[in-house]
Parts: sequence; structure tokens; C-alpha cells
Amino acid sequence: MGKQGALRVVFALWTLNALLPVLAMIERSLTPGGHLSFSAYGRLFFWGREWNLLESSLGLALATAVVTGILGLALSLLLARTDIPGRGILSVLFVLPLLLPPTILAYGWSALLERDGLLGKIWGPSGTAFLFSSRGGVLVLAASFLPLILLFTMTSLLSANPRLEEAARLSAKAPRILFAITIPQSAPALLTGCLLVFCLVLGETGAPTFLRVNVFAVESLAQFSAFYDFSSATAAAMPLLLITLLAFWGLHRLRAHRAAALQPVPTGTGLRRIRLGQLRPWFFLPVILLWTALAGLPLLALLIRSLEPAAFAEALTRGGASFGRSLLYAGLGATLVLFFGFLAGYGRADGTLGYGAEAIPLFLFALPGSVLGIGLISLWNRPATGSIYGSPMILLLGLLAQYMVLGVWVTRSALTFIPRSMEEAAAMAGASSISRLTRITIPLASKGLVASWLLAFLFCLRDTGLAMVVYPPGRETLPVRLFTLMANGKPALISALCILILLSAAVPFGALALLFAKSRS
Amino acid sequence: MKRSESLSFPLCLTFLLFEVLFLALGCTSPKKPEVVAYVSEDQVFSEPILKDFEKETGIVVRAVFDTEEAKSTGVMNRLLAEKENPQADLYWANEPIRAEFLKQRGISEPYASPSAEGIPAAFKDPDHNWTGFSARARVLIVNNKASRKPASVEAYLDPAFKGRTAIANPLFGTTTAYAAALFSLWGEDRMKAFFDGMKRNGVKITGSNGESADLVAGGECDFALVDSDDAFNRSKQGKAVIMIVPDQGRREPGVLLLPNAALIIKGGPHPENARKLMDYLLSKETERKLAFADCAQIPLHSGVEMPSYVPRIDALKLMPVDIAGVARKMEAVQPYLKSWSGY
Amino acid sequence: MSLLNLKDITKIYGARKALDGFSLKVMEGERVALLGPSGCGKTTALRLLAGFEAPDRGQVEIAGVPAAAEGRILVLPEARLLGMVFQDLALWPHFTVRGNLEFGLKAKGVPAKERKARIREMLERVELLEYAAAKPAALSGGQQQRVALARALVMRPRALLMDEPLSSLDVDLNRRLREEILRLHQEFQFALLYVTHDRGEASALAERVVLMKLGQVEMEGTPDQVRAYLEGQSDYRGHW
Repeated sequence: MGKQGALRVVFALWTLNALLPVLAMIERSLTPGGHLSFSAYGRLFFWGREWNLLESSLGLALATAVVTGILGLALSLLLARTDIPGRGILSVLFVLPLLLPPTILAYGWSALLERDGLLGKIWGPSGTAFLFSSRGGVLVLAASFLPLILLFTMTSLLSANPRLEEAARLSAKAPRILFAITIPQSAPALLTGCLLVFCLVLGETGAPTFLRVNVFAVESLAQFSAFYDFSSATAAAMPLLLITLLAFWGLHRLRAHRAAALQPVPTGTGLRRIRLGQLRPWFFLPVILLWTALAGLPLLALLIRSLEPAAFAEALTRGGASFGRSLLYAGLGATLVLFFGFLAGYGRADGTLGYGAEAIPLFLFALPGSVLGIGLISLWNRPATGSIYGSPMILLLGLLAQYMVLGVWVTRSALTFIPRSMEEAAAMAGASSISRLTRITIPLASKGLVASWLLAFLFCLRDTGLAMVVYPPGRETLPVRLFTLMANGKPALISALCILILLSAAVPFGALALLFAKSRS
Repeated sequence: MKRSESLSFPLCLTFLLFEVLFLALGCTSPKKPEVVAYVSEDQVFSEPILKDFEKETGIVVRAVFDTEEAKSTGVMNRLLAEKENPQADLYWANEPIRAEFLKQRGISEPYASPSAEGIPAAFKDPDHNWTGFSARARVLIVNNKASRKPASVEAYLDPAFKGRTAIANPLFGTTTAYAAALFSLWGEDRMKAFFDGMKRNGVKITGSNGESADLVAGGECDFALVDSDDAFNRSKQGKAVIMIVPDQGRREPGVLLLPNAALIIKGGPHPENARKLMDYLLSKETERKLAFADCAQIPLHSGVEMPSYVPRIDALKLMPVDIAGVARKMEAVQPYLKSWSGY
Repeated sequence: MSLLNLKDITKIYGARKALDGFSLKVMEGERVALLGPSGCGKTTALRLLAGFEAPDRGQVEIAGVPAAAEGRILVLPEARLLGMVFQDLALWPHFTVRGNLEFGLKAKGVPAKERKARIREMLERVELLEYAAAKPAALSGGQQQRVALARALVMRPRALLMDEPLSSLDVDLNRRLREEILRLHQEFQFALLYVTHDRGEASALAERVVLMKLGQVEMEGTPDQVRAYLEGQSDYRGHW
């Protein structure tokens, strides 16, 4: 079997694993009474209320994508391309919110703005009125997903071809170069990040529900939770997926044009940092204030709330083995995502695999975890496959299906920067496909691969929707435990658990990220 | 000229990787006796009971806990999805309507536990598919600073409380049960008039009873209809709230009591251990623990030791409802509740 | 027998015909230059010989064996025993100079002792022995060119394909490297197919020049014959 055949087989394996559960759910949605019927879909927009919900969802998703896009670009430029002090620490700080499900940030904001909260005492009821509205929704979701924009855009800025800027420096000053050369170079990465944010917000139910913002995604959830109607729940997920695929198609038109303009990085070159000089403190201060406003304050509110005697001890006891389990599952999930994602990204980069290799993972990414989870149960909960279903393997299969897009897109982007001639030269030297892959392509793309793994690790770690449905009895993950304990759990306990989740994720993630940053320098 | 190697190697690696993962993660723990319990009762209250069962019997409990209803698909959906090949042995429901729902879908099997003796018949399935224990009452949590203290759920319609009340989304959980109970008791028209009136009077619809209780505790609302454990909890946290058992007057409907309910899952992998767990849950000792816990649940057995602040069942005027009938009414009332809650 | 043979090749990219019924033979040990303006199909011809792409029509033969035909690659690049110096050099930045040379030898299973000897010999030839442990990024443009040349030749290829490798160098360096290529050719007797748009380079390096235009052979002959032909053209402006 040649290289192309092998890549196609591996991708087909992933597709089977990922799509079969979904197809099972779609089939169910089309045959609610055992015969073909579109009633589940027809009912969806019968009341008219659903159209309003869809409008509300689109508005929330667009607003969040735009806000994070603008903030993310500005921050990325500052952190990646200037000499602003504390770049490494600031980068880690801004990524922290991604370690927590958005509902927890919303919970933190609520603790901050409630009557006895830090800011609640100053702002009074207007604070909570702001939070429990669509504006509050944008604030919380922007804080949650800004790290995603940063990760994509900073990676792009750091991998840019310096020759293009140097050519511009012969005739233009820094501001013009920034807007005419630097920013357009990273536009594909920025747009990709914005699309992912758009998809994530579109499918988000936890934070909007907590903040009492009516969104369409809750429709699917309500069909599950209130009516136990799997057919309607699946049908309710479809409009969101169609919108996602449309957005992807639109983005792809842009990226296809843009990607061709990117040139590989010549050897032995480095990017020039913009020196801020005396303006350094004037840039540093707003950045720190921004972080404080978006993430620092709600996290501080959680910390303060957790500072009751024995809260942390109880959190550790209650958390139990979930801490280690979460890290293990996230690590394994990220490794699977990286393995399959890399091969799919490689197949995309060399033209072996078509657009489906990007579109299908995106489709799965946007699918509510509960739909995927129920689909996995339908597929795997059989006597013959009981050993898989009853083990954490079922969760890993779900994570692989849901987050594959992170592996494909990030590695494909990393591979774009590697000249084709690198592998061709290795072929001329007599190296086999495997040798070229393992000794040339993978080492050259290693930074992108590490970034992909870290991103997948974060998402696997914070996953709740899918994990809630399929985790094997007695082996829940930490975010699941947090959510189950939230029902009448003491605020101090919940807050302590949130802080511990952050720490248990931040420590390994931060260590890896710092190592990664060191290896770059 | 020789043909070069192919990429079959990563294929082999893929299969090997999965084999290793299957083996490593598929390995079950050493052969201790176990029971799988799906639990809808709040984990903070239910987990200690299950841990005690483990200690006393040596049977490991592998549990799946539930979240507040609006936050996730929940354990019920897992039970329904697993119907053809059940993984759970026992379901601990936090109200009997769900248990009845599962019975009606053929997911439970009958078991007349000896521990059920002494539990009033109104809280047991006549066919022994589920048995109630440790109940919660649907009560009003009221902020101390409220200018007036409501005595009935009809206070939701009182203009004096306009915009100052909250209720959990009636599509989910115990509020659904309450709506279905009113539907059963009052009839469709009166129930709808009540809910429509609530909305006109500016009721805030929250995601859960817990959120409703927090709004009242935080002073944003004067009162809310919640479960008694939500009210007790806030009280124990030192919040400035009181709990009022509503509708105790002569012409009033009485308070709705919703017990926990345990049922054995048909075809579960460990039926014998499931029965042992059910016997344990239905025991007086469990009811005593749940009465003294922060949830302060009301024992259904007589003669169970409990704190003075927990109302005795014989001191309450109870809403006269037939659980099976209420469960059947739920499907009928849900389309209206869906549009009422704006979903 | 010809070593490299492109037989009546047509290669189309989208709406553009890069090669249109193009034929070329290179004999063992021969030095041939493919000369023509940008876009005439020179690099495409090289890529087809290397095995990176397959012709839409026609056949590619290496040492008499069909290597590609009608959309199919029959012999993969790593099995063709050819060497190539790319336009962007394609030096692997994560390997040292030694590592760049060693990579292909290891892939072919050459024993360690022999690898060491061959690498040393080749680095001495290109006067880069003292840079063996350096990374390509630390070298000058000219040094990188020599590394790329050494990497291709350490494999002892039957033919060396060169895709405008000297285009970015100054006149002196260009001349020096041309001399080096000729010297190495003298020593190792490989066939050389050199792609360039520079008539001077073509004349200096090749025994035979194939003049290309719009994917076809316009004319071929000795450098003098090609010069005479070009001087006779009405649009001829430069000097040979």
C-alpha cells in the first residue's frame, strides 16, 4: 500500500469512528416512530420562537468572535512581536481561562458581582443586570475563548517569513509594515481562530443558561433533559451544524486565496521584535488590566470564596482520583488527536485528502457533545463491545471524534511552512516515505505538533458535555465532578474545586509551554 | 530499481496503539464485588451514603452522578440510551416521577424490599418497581427582608410581589413535577391561568432550584418555590432566608412532597448487589442520615430520629396526588411548559 | 544508451501547458543545459525526471527502464538513484552539515565506517570540512550552495539535476562554483542536467544546450550553435 493509500485508510478509520455514532443519531431523528418522517425537523421551526433563538445565538457567536478577534490580534502582536516585559508569563496568564469550562468563569463573575461580592458592593444591582444579559454573555465567552485566538495568531506571527517584512522595511515605516504586511500574513490564522470561537459559542449551553441568555443550542439540550426526545435533540443540533459548515466554506474561500501567498521560512533567520522603548509601561499596564478584567477578577472572586477552613481539604477529598484521571484522559486524548490529526493534516497538505479532511472534523467539533455521546452509546453499548464501552476508551473515542479538528488544522498550518523541497530532497537521497516523515517532516513541524497537542490537551481536559454522557461509572473526570457537586455544593467547596482544577491543569500545561518557549529561543 | 517502503507502518502503529489502550484502560479493577448506581440525588448528599454502604458491605459502588437539569443531558438519558444493554444496576432518583417514567418504559424491574415496610403506600409503586424514601417538600424560600411573607404559591400572582419572584424552569426536574401535580389537581385551565398569571407578574425563570434559592438569598427576589433541601442549605450557609411550607390552609391544596425513589434496573449486571443497595437506601438509618445532612430530608418511616427543624410528615397537609397519574400528565403538559418558558 | 529520456511529454497544470510534446535525451556522463525564460517548462522537466510528478502524456525512462507514464509514477524518486540541487537548496535546518550529508547514506544502509569516509571526502572536495558540525543557518549563501552540492554528490548519483542553483550568487562566486561543478563532474563522471535562464552559465557548464520555449524544444546544439541561432533572432538583445 502506498503512502496515499495508507493516509486514506487511517483517515477512513477515524471517520468511521467519528461519524457512525452521528449517523446513528441522524437516522434516529429521521425515523422517530420507526418510519421515515421529518416531523422532528418540521416541529423545530413551527413555533417561530426557534427563529428568535437562532438569531440570538448568531448574534452572540458573531459578537464574541469579533471581540475576541480584535482583542486577540492586538494582544498577539504585543506578545509575539514586541519587547513588552513579561511576555512569557502574560501568555500563560491569558491562556488560563481556556482550562476551565465557560460556566465556571460565569460562576466566578457571578461571585464577583453578587450583592456581597468584591464588585457587587460597588456596582450594586446594575452589575448583575449587566452580567445576566447578552452583554454579560459576550464578556464571559470572550474571556473563555480569547486564548484560542491568541494561540493561533501568536503561532502564526512567530512563524512568519521575516523576508517579507525586511523587503518592506526598505521603503516603509513600522506602522505601515504592521498593517500592510504583518497583519495580513497572520490573517488566515486569525480567521481560523475566529471561526473556531464562532462554532464554540454557537454550541455553548452552560454559560448562556447560567447567565439566562436564551440561545438556540439550549433547544437541543432541552429536548434531551426535558423530553428525553433523542430525535428532536438531534434535529435541533442540525441548524447549528449547517451554519458552521457555511462559515467554514466562506472562510475556506478566503484562506485558499491567502494561504498561497505564504512563503516558507528561509534557514538561519529570525523575526525582528518591535522595540517599545519608553512606551513599554504604557503597553504593559493596559494588558495587565485587560487580563485582570477578563480573568483575574473572576478567578480572584473564586479564590476568595474558597478561603474557608477545610474547603480545599474537602475539595481534594471530593475530587479524589478525578484529578489524576482527568490529566491521564486528557493526555491520552490529546495524543490520539495529534496522531490522527497529523496524518490527516499531512494528507491535506500534500493533496492526498480532500476538503472533507477538514470539514468533517469541524462538523464534529461543532456538534453538541451530548448528541455525540448518545450516539456513541447507541453504537458501542453492545455485549460484543462491552469491554470498550465500559472503559475510559469510550471517552477517548469521543474526544478523538470531537477535537480532531484541532489536530488537523494546526498541523496542516505548520506543514504549510515547510517547503515541499525538504521532503523531495530526502526522497532524492533515497529515504523511504516513513523515513522522510519521521526524520524530516515531523522534526521540522515539531513546534506546530507540540502546539497542537497542547491545544487538544486543554480541550480534552475541560470537556464536560461529552464526558458527562459517556464516562464509565466511578471514573468521572474533574469537570464532571465539579458540575455534579455544584448542585447544592457549598460555594466555598465549588470555588476551591475550580481553583484546584486550574492548578492541576495549569502546572503541567505551563511547564510544557515554558519548555516549548525555551526551545524556540 | 527497488520500490520503497509504504506507509503501512503507521497503520500497524495505529492498531498497536489502540490495542495497548484497550488493554490498559479496559482492564477492570481487581475482582471486588461491585454495584453500578446511577444517581440523580445531589452528589454532595448521596455520595456519603454510598461510601457508607461500601464500608459496611465491602461492595464497591461505581456511581454516575447527575448535574442540575439544565446543565446537561443527565443520567436519565443515559439510562434510556442504554436500555438494550443496561450498564446500571440501580437508579437513585431524586423524585418519583422520573422513576415512574422509567417504569413506564420498561427499564425497571420489580423488587419488594424488606426495608420498604413502614413506608406509606402513597410513596411506593403498587407494582414494586420503585420505592420512595427521604422526601423533600416543595416549599417557599423567602428573604428575611421581604415586606410580606407569602403563605401560598398563589402569592406568585400577588401584585405586591411583581418582578420580585423566581421559579426554576418548569421544563426540568422537580418544578415539572410540581406543574404536573397542579395540572392533575386543578385541571388544565386553572393550571395554565396560574402560570400565565405568574409570567404577567414578572416571575424570573431560572435554570434550577439552586439558582432560584440564590436569587432569594442574594436579595434580588423576595421568594421562590424550591425544594426544601435548597432552602435548608441556604439557611445553613447563614443566608438571611426562611423556609415556609405553603398552602397548609383548609381550602388550600397542601404541600407537594417528593421523595427520593430507588429502582432496580432490568437486566443490570449485578442484580444481587443492586438489591442489597436498595435495601440499604430504603433503611431507617439512611433516612436518619439524610435528615441530619444539609439537605434535611423528611423521613417516610415513622420513628426515625431527626432534627427539630425538619418537619414531620404527619404534621404536614400533603397535596393529594397519585404519582403514576402525575407522570402520565407530564407528557401532556410539557408542550405548554415549553412555550411558557420560552424554549 | 541514454541515461535520462523524456519521450514526447505533455504536462498540463490547470489551463496551462507546461510541456507540450517535449522530448529530451541525456547520455551517461553528458553535460546538458536546459535554457529558456521563466515559465518555459524547464523546472517541470526536471521534476518529471526526479519523479515528483507524472506526465499527462508521454513516458519517462531512466537507464532504459520506464519510470513514469500517462499519469502514473512507476519508479519512486528514492529508487531512481538521481541527485538534485534545488533552487531553494532545501537544506534541512535541524541537521548539521554532516547530518545533511549523512541522511541519504543512512537511508541506503551504507555502513557507518564508509559513511564517515565518504562524508569526509566530499566535504574536503567542497572545502567545508571545518563546518561539518555547523547548522546550515550559520553558513553563507555560497557555503550553503556547496553543502547542497555535496549532499547530492555524496550519494554518487548516476545523474545530477540542478535547478538554477547559482542564480542568487555574485559573479565571482558563481564562477568559482561553476568551476567546482566541472571539476566534480570530471572526477565522478555523472550525467548533468542543468536548468538555467542564464546563457553564460549554460555555455560554461554544458556540452549541449537545449533551448526551450513555451514547453517545447525550440532548438538544440552546442553552445556555439545555440548562440549563433539566438544572434540570428530578431528579438535578441543580450550578449552570449
